[in-house]
Amino acid sequence: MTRSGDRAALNGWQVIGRIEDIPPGRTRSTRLLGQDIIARRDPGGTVSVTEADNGNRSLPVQERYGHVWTSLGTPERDLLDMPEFAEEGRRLITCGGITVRTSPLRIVENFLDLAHFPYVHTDILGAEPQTGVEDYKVEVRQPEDEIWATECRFFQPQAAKSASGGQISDYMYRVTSPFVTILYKTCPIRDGMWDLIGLFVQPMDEEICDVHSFVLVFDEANSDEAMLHFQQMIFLQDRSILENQLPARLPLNPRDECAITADRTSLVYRRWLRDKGLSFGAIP
Amino acid sequence: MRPNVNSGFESDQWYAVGGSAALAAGRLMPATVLESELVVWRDSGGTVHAWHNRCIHRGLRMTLGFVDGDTLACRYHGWRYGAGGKCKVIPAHPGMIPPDDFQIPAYAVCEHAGLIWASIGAAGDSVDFDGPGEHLRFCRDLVVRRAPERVSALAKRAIFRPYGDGEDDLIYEHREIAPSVIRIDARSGGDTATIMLAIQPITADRTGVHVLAGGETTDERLHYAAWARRLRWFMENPDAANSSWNPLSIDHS
Ligand code: FES
Ligand SMILES: [Fe+2]
Repeated sequence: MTRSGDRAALNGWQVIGRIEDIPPGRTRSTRLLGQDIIARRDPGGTVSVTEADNGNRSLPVQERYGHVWTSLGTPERDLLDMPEFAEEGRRLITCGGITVRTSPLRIVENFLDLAHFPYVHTDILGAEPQTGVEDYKVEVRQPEDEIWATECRFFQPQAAKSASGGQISDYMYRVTSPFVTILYKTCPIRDGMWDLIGLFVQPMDEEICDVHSFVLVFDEANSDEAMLHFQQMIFLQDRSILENQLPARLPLNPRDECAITADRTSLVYRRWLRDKGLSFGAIP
Repeated sequence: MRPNVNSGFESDQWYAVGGSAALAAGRLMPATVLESELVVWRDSGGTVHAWHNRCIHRGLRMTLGFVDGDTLACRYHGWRYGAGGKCKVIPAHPGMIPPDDFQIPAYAVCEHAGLIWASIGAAGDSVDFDGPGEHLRFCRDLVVRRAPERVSALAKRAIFRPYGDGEDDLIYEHREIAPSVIRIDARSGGDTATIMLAIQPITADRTGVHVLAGGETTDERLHYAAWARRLRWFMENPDAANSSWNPLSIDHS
């Protein structure tokens, strides 16, 4: 497969690894939107990224939120804003890339979904018989052009590594680009604060991607390693589902799959992708 | 979708997909017929169902799901599907009655002669051939990495040594008693031993063979199970040197 011609995908900022995945003096070969690329960090610490078959053109690069970002096109917008990264007392855990054989859009859609908790993350993020999804709000916010789902509530037996016993968790979901999504979740130990969990999906080809995730939380009890393991366990449960959806590409026509009220975030996401003309990993 | 699999392997036919005894109540299994993926499952009342292996919600393979009484549950969001593939319960909206068109395509399925049969097209009411008799039992399922037409042709010259018999004076008769079902009788004197092979076209280069054979005792069952294993090997390696172990050996036919 060769490089995508999808303008909506090419002109966005995409993650290609964690900052520490590209140490000084080293290179990292990877793939983005059907194009092989090479990232190098010079001994002075500056990262440069080029296409593997064209070393002359330097791609835009920035390092933020623990990760390295680039673009094959001309980014029309800034990277998403997450002011929480500047807040005192939060801990950042980056989980590293996990390869998943499906469309990057299926990954994002799965992340936006409350109803799968009792079945895919049984006894951790949900359990029968508490399966009902209450109504929530979902909107596309302008001028940011971001999807926000708010007032999401769900009963969870063990909502986070720091949670003991079941609780009703409050969630907000945010989609800032076709391949970037953030979850805001009630912090179990600080009233009124949100913990963040985010996915930066690196679309390699239309049916394979690396999923880079992070956790940005208030947590004094658990080690980084324990939190990393918790996130990895949850994500591996999702992966076993994600690699078994047929077709792998996300159908954007609402008639291709049966949706219910609880799926409103996914319906808005699919319509938003269609409006952008995004086709990478999609069935129009 | 079905490029090379045809010449006799039509979608409007019944194909064996596994042994009845191998699918207990409350269990499911995957099966592929002419490139179509199926989920085959037995409800708690004992009835077998064969459906398209895809949830209508987000496309998850139903073979990842689980049987819940007389319904099959999807592993992703727990939607329950009952007879005919109709969606019965959507756990995210416990009070909701799913619309009529929330339905997984269901295929015709039946049980006959110790095997489960499914049709992805419009086959007749049920599998139509005389059962092989009480003395035959489900022996084993084989998956052969060869085209269905080729496997079918090889099956029509397969021979075997009846359990407890010498090799001498055996007369073989091969008959296609239904499309894709081959019956092999081995006669010696007044005795007849029978093996039945039901061919399942999986893909253009993969074929299932479901073997029914005699099996009164453990020794007899082991005898035919070993034969079936050799059959698979020689079907995949038909150019291997002739040996007296080869169930497809021309010398014996
Ligand atoms: S994909 Fe089967 S219930 Fe959602
Ligand atoms: Fe999940």
